[in-house]
Amino acid sequence: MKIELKKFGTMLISRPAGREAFLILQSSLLKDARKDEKIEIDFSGVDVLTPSWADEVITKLSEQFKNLKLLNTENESVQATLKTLREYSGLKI
Amino acid sequence: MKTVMAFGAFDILHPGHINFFKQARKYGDCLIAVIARDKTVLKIKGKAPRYNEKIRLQFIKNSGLADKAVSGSLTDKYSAIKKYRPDVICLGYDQTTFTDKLKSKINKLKLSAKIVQLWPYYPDKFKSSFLDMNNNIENLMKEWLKTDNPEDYRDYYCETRDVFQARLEKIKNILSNNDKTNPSAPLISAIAGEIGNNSFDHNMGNWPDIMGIFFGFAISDSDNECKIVLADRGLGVLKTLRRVMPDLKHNTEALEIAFTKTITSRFPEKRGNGLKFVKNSIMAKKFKLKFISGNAQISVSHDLQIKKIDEYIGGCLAIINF
Repeated sequence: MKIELKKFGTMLISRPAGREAFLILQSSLLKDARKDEKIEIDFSGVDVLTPSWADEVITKLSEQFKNLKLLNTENESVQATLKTLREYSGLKI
Repeated sequence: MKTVMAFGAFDILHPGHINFFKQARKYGDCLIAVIARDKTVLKIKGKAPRYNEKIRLQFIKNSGLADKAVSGSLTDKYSAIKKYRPDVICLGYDQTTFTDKLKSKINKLKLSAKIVQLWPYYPDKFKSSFLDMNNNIENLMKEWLKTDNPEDYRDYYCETRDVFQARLEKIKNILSNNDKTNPSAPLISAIAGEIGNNSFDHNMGNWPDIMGIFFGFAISDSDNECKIVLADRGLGVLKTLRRVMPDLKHNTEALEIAFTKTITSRFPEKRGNGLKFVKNSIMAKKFKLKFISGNAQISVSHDLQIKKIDEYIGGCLAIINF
């Protein structure tokens, strides 16, 4: 299963917006997903990402699903955000 | 010879226009100004220009701001581009009319013209000089921190998070459309986004004074340095952190913790990595940050320095140079 983050916008910045995105994912795309299901998170098309938004989505998804893959993470703000989550939020991927 | 083309009504000439031409001139050797016709201005702006097209054209010709000034066409808005085949087309930061299909039209005409979005110009309502805009934005921010009428600063005051996000998006587009700042645009936007959103996150429902933030952007006259300023009239870092660390005494101590330790004032939420992200990104990219809260200031560049200052800011103030 693939989650295309650009469908939530190109500037993913605030914590409330991240929380909203996570809730929507839980009630739609991930509703019947198994814990061991392969989940791909696609960052293509995302212009700006912050740790606040990502903490509410990426960190939480990584706690919920063990087979998570991150795709198209070249954007500098995506890179810096993932580095922050790995360093301070315990993100393991 | 490199030809640059700029479009506009240029009705009542003001410092913003002068700044516009000054920036455009830097992209080539010959600057051609295309003056919008009266009917076009009426159609786009919904009102007729104060001065008719002949006067506006003559004024630009006499001003020396451009090397050549010509009238736009009423029948074909691309006619000047077809005739002069510019190497660069300069657009104002908010110029959206006619620009939507410009890129594809240029391709169809088999032109290699580069489209450049110019910087916005923030006039200073308190000074006649417009050259000192870099300092002016800081002065305006400091005035906003004390004023009884924050809404007077409507170009910079973001009362809600939505307004902040919309303005940040606009600034991100400006940065992305400029060669010099394009590589930094995503990260700078993320840094400003974290700082601005922090103000809303930590003060929501608790604003001691007015809600919202001041958010401004400026570029130095030499084009070499950009500045983003953010400020709030919220609780400040010390009071915010005391929710979870009641023994915390000094602003300097609070700032150090906020920028270096993973701690959140919104327990049990897992959070508190925003300012660490800001600090690490600033250091990695060799940008500069000055952040003040209470009587403490933290400066981040290649290293991190915290000191007590004479100034006192009730909420938070941030100045990012890049």
